Amino acid sequence: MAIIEAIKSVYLEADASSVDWTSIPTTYEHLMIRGTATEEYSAADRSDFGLRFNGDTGDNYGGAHSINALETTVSYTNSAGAGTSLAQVYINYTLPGGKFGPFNVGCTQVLIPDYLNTNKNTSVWFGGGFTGDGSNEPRAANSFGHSVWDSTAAINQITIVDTPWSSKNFARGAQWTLYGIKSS
Amino acid sequence: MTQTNNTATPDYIVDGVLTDGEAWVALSTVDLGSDTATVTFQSSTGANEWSQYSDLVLVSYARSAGSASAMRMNFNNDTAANYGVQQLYSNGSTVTASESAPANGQDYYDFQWVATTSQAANVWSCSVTTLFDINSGKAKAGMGYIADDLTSGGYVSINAGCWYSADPIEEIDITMYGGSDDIKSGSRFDLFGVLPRMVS
Repeated sequence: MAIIEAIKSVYLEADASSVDWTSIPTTYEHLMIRGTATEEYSAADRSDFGLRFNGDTGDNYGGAHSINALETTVSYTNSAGAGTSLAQVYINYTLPGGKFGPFNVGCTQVLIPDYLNTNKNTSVWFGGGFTGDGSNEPRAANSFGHSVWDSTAAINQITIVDTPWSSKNFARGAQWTLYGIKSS
Repeated sequence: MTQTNNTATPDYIVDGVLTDGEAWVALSTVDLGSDTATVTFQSSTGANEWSQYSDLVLVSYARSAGSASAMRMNFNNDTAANYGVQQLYSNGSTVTASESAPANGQDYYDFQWVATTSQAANVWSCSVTTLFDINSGKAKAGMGYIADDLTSGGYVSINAGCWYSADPIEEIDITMYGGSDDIKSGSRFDLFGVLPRMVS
């Protein structure tokens, strides 16, 4: 019996603002997302992307993150309470803007444990980052953190959205795979 | 040095048909029986043919045989200044962020800080390093997590790095920073391949 299985893979052949995975199987204990992406963004800036579950676009998400960019450390909570102020899980500072050039790619891992449990809110752990090309500032960042979706619903849909506050797109060539992890 | 490579037929090929089985595949294990200057992983055949994988994951449990504390990678024998790493680390009392060199300005990917001869003999260091999308035409992004329980204070780190090359990763060479020290006997490295979804 396979312990870790690839459920879905996506490769963007054109710029896109989001990726949607529906009908996620209920045969696993945990979910993992792994992938690389760049944002099609004209400014030299670090950027973020988000996750939404089951099509919920309400202000039902929150979390706490630790970020470092060059020689600066930042740690902050981006919600007023447990999952009550944001419209998506934020995966901060893991995307380079397009101005960094085609050789700059951000990478991210996301773990969603116990995604079928209807007695607990959904927790999300993530880590990721990127380095720039050395000729544009700011150059590099990475972060890790925890987020929560204020819902006990079992997850059957995941939507990856690019910087919801800026309406930008993921650049062509981004790829993600959703994995399912089984227990013994 | 004992190195075992998995060159068996990939499990996802069943009677000549693609299937989706175990997504994480053990590719190669290295156990050092003596102090060693370089640990090399190379793509070969069967399950150890790296072009079939989306990502590689290296699990390392290691120690320096000298005073050098940084362990580094080079890919495809590229020793030119084509690498960069951004990191956040803590020694138990302070947290520091740093760019280990101007991005795209160093000739190695420093992926792990390890115990040295100045540390107690039973102190070793572990890390999990992921190399993403290793066969794409993009730069090769990586990230890692490190934990050391050092004699004079612990060390934990998260890092993100990059090899600025569009080439697929076909070889990984692991050495100590500066090249003058060996990797300590008893160090162990396990390399895994991560498959994407094979069947739509």
